[in-house]
Amino acid sequence: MEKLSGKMKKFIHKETILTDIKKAALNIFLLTLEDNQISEAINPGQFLQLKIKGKILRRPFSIFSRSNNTIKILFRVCGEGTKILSEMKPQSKLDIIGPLGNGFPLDSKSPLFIAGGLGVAPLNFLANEIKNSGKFIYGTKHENEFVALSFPETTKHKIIKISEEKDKKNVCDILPEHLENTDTVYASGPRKMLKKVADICTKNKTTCFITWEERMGCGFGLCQSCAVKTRAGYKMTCADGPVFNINELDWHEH
Amino acid sequence: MSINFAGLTLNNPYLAASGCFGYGGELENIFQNQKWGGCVSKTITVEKRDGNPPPRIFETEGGIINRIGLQNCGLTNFLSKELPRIKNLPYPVIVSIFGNTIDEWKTLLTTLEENNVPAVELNLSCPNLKGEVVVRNIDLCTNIVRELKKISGIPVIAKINAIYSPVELSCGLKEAGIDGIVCSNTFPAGVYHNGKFYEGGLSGPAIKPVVLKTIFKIKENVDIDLAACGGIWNSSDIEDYRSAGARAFVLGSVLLTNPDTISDFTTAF
Repeated sequence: MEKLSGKMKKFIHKETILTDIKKAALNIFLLTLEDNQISEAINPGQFLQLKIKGKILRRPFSIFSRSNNTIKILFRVCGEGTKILSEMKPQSKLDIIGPLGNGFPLDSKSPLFIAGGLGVAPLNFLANEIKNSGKFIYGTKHENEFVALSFPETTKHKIIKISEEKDKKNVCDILPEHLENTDTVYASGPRKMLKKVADICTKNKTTCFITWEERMGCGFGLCQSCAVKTRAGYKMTCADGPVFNINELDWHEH
Repeated sequence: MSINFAGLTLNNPYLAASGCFGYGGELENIFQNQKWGGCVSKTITVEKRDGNPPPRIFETEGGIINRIGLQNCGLTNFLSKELPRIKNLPYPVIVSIFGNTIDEWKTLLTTLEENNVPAVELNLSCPNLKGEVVVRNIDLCTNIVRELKKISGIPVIAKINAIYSPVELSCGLKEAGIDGIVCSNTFPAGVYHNGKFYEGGLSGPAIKPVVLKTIFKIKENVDIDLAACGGIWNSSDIEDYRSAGARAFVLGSVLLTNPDTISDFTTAF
């Protein structure tokens, strides 16, 4: 399975309208952007760079879902930039660049999605787009952090929700028992979780793609800020990723 | 708007700064980048460099701190992989170089000149090289330039730092035969991130007043082609730097905010 290349594409840089913003869970917001260009071009796993008023660096966000003329972004308020974004009013303008990065391969016959916390965003999009049915494991720390998934009725992913608060275990604890009959694992979440998922999938010889996060500058491979240590040296999260096969990364460094 | 800067003819006085524009050709036909007067490649060293472990970039009030650590593909890979695609760009790509020894500086310059690179920028001032900040040693800098000018016919430009004796250094560089000076590189700075202290280089609007004063002081003392680099965000920044004595304007951090900046600049003036 080949990943899509994130390099040398024509990016769209435009001003768009933020049509809606609402609270999706504790400290988590769902933002809707009006757009019919990027939504058509973007693949699951790719991301957008949003310009935040008063900030120099753009902030990268993955896509939660798309329709013909909207893109939805899910984010947690975790710093000044996301706080400013969360306080934006509907009908305000937002400067965006995308689609950026590579994307997930979509040809799994029996996928397993494993999402930790906000990691659910790109996997919700992926689970929507992937043709074959599978399982969707979604974990959070607390019950009030779950957001509503948006699979259309035509998909048949079995959803397994687990919270550390209620279930006293996390997504990695239950992953091994679900690997049978899975050809590909798609993981997104905190780094600690990804490391465990990579370890489990390596031992089980299951193909696994993860989406990586790193502090980012330009978003298209020029400034070399978002380095990630791979077995072939540093690569850039924005242009070589953010989706990596677990075999590409040097997990000793993470 | 065409100008002659340091012996180079540029369609306009706006250059993309080293480190913010890749090797020069990556964004061809993406955004409005054919409008640049020129650009400076990321710094090339003789051997490839891995750069620093992440995190490598932080935002501060009015600025960015980076600690990339001169990651680059090395001279040989640059010639085979990057040079072919920057040769046909509608603007000149000035290649930024850094040598650990005088022989390395010479190797870089002569090799690039043989491959028809139009000019080089000597990165004398990167703050992300522990113990290697050449710019603090004026004699060493002038000696490097003197040696390089003996063997080269292409323009040699020096990137200096506004906080390390810039006027005295500029006098020395002029005597040594430098063709132009870009001021300034990022300032040495520090930041706490998740409880850990990181050193890096500060750029952006936060450093502009210091660079502006430095440009003014250099111009007052040395007759040299000067390019301003430090927090250029809009037309009033350009006017300030022009008034202080700069002839070319080098845009860096702003490209992270708006990669189409050059389009706004070339249509506005």
